[in-house]
Amino acid sequence: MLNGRKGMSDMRMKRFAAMIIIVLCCAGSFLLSSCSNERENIENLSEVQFTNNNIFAKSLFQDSGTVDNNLNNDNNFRTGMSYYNDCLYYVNDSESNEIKIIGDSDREPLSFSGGEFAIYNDKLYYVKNDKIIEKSLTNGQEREIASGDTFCFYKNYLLTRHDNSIINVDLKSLKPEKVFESDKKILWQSACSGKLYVIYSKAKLNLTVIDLNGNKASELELDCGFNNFLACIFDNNLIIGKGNAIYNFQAKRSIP
Amino acid sequence: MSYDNLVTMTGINNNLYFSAQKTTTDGSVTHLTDSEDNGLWRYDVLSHDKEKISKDSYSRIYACGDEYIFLSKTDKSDFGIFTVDSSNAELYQMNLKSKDIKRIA
Repeated sequence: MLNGRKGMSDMRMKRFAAMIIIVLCCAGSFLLSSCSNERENIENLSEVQFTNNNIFAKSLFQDSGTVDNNLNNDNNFRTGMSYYNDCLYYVNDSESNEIKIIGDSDREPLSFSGGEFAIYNDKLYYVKNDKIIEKSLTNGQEREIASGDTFCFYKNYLLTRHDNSIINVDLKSLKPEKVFESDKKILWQSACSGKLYVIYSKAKLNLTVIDLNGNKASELELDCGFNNFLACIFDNNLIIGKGNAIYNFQAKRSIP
Repeated sequence: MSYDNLVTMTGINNNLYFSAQKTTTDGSVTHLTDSEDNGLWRYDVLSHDKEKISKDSYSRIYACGDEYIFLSKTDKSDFGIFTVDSSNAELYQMNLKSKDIKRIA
């Protein structure tokens, strides 16, 4: 009798445990699904974090997307700067293409023949005739590694903009992968935390967010005018400035 | 408040740094217009505090890390006739804690 009751009790316990597991699985699945949806929503940017190392790359990529701003376009530091290993690399005069270095007095200036540049992983990268050139800082060897008129880095990847596409290039294999394509002009792009943010113009400004790991995309129409805007994305905020207004899309409020 | 001619902006550590510069163009010459809105500003997106760091406007801001941001400008700080093609490009470094800005190139 006792054994019989114990057996029944064990069965009930097993059924109960099985039910608990099923309920937990369902809840987990629901939560995962919810999180996944949230990740694709630009209005929830809580995951967006930059590291110090990619802040300048972000800045480079953003600046090149700024349009119709005479002051920016005519700036003498137009080929950019790069902050790497506590040294600031900059070009004062785009005619000379000589990269000066602040922070290490022993280093000789670098020479290159191109436009926008960045220092990354002990290599110089620059744009020349819509190609991205990689130059070794140790032996000076150069090679063409991708197409594009502007670029930035994300981990071991190089993101370039070519025509109306964004191409993700593996820096080890140099294998290119097109991650975004539009029939409209790309006005701004920025990459961080495994996501690529692209603003292009349709009826209004459109923002696409692409998960670089899974290529999942989400779309948002930004309620602001065409062209002549500045955009920046940092911490939890996507901020767009245009004319006499600056709007924080995360906080859904204008800056007073 | 308006931000006439918002020139450049960048953000780091929940702070937005931006530069505004009111201008009018007469032919090929751009005139800076005296305005309270001109200058370099910091806006805290969490507390919504805002402060003017400098009355000087900067043409580009480069965010480079937790300690400093780098800025450049092509014009002098005093208002007056200002040409876009100025070759007097200047590079500045601003300490994010002290807000001190010094020219480095």
